[in-house]
Amino acid sequence: MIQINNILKLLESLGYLFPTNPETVTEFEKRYGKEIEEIKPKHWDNPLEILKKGKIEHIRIISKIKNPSYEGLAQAARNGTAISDEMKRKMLEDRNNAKD
Amino acid sequence: MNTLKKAELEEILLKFSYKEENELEAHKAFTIFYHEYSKYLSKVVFEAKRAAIYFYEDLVDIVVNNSFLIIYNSPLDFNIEDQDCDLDVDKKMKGYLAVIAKNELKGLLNKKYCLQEHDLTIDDKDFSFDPPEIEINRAHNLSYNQRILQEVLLTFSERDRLILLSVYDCHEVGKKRPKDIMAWLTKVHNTTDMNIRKIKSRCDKKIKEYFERNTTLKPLKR
Repeated sequence: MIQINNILKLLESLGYLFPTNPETVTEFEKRYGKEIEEIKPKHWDNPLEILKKGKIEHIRIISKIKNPSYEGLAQAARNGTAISDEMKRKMLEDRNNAKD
Repeated sequence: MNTLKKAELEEILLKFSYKEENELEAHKAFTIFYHEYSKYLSKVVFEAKRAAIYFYEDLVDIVVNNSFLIIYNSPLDFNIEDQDCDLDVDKKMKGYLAVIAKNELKGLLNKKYCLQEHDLTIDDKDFSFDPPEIEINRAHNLSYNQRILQEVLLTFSERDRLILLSVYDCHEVGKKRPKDIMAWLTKVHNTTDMNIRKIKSRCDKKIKEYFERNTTLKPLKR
């Protein structure tokens, strides 16, 4: 029977969890080797900038969520399609009208 | 992929530890070290935290940079054994970086959780909420067990998968799940502690059953 540790190792090797031991590191590299080479980290051209800036203690939220599963259901109800521009315009209009 | 030898890595870490005596050499060493491991670590953080990345600005870069700073400031916490070969040291360093990044990320997300509520507010007229799914590649080059696990993960809902991976992410043998992580999950998914446990248990059962059905390994008879 598959044990929790084996599931964790597989998840690490697939990249869903952080690969933390040599075995899963090897598997991860095997899987993503080419993609790793293509990455250009933000401070690639000037790594010393990282030392100058120091440790960053806070992260900034781009978008806030309340209930992601509800949003998923809403999208499913629209047969998986995104909200159209026309629909967005109408929603904004309704919201602004409600404020007035 | 790897170019650094064990002796070179030892020298780099030593130069970090003498940064106050010779800053220029430490800086040179930092540049080499960053070029060696930053691509790898960026990919690790990106893959492990696709869902969170969508919600936070520059998350991958911040976690990667903070992790490099931690090693720069405490280089001798990394242990190199005499019997380790070049390849062993390389894999160990990558695993070590991943552990640091994982803890760093947890810390950042917890602080954020404490600082700000996760409410939905659409304050940008052009903004619409449409988060991407965690992408599951039906890729080739997978081992048999990896493929089986991918398949069973695909049968879970996006929400269950996210909860399961977050709970696994904080799994430590013999330890209870951290309360702050559980609190974060219940808040983000608008659910209860009990429900998270149920989801985890349901998914675990499905994974085990799926493996039993699709592999020749059978549970031991008692």
